[in-house]
Amino acid sequence: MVCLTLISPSVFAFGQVAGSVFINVPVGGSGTGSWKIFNEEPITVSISAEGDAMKFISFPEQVTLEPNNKIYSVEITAKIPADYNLTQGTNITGTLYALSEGSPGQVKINLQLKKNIYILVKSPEASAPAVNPLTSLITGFFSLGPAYVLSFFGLIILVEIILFIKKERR
Amino acid sequence: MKYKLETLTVALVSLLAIIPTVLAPSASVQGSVTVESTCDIAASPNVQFEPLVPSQTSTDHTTTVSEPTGNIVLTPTILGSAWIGTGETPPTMPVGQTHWANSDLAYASMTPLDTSVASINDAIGPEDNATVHFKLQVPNGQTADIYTQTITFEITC
Repeated sequence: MVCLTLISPSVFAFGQVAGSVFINVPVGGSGTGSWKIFNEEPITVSISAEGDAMKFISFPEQVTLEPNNKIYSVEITAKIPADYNLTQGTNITGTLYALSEGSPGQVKINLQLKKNIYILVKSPEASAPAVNPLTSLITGFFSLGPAYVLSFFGLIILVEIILFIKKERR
Repeated sequence: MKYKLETLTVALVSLLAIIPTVLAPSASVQGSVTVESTCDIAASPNVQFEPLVPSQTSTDHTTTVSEPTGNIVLTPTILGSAWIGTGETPPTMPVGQTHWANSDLAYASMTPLDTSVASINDAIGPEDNATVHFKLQVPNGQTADIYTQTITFEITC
């Protein structure tokens, strides 16, 4: 006779926020992305990866989730070496897995989350967008809001008046 | 002339002092919240086959796969591992001895479990579920032992 071990019934609930993980990385640099996962009960989850992206990413191998579906952001760091040849591809793909193991028993039922990851490789020049300093100054100034902009011009008028008074007194 | 200018200066300074207050945003607070798109999975209960003899096929056993809180319709996939016995060199049973289906079918009509993922065919939505049926057939001459197997349900979104 073939015997099969007894187990106790168990309930899981294990989830993730939708959408792929995209990480922009310049050649010779690094970037980070996050994968949001959650669970109803506190559990320890094993993280793994496969695919081309696996060679360029690092992540915690295990994470502990807090109860009540509190979102945990698994931080994924991607590093592209300085000698990376862009002809190898600027879109490196892979898959992330988060495994929640079931209770040991005759049949152990695991639950697994799967997430696609994309590393978007940029040349160093493309990664540093040129910013016109004058545009930046003007945009920054007006972003302060109407109250501060009016106060600024009012202050200029005030200084002008004070200078005028001093001139009159002489 | 001097008096008028000084008066004008005082008035202007007062005006400047109150401008930020007058033009500042009002004190009312507008709340907003972003509800993320999520998917999640639960499976219950574990499958529990009865003791079997070689060549015997088990009765039908089920587990219910559900999406307790998520808001995306998804189709879980299933994969498994070989049955493994006990001891230092444990005997094994092929993963495909376990068959599964979306209903209680004859063993031969069910899908053999595999180490590669297969769709369970039933899409499940928010607060929805799908029942997966399992049967196990023990091969002729299978070594007597206590065997265990892992079945994994996987979701992506």
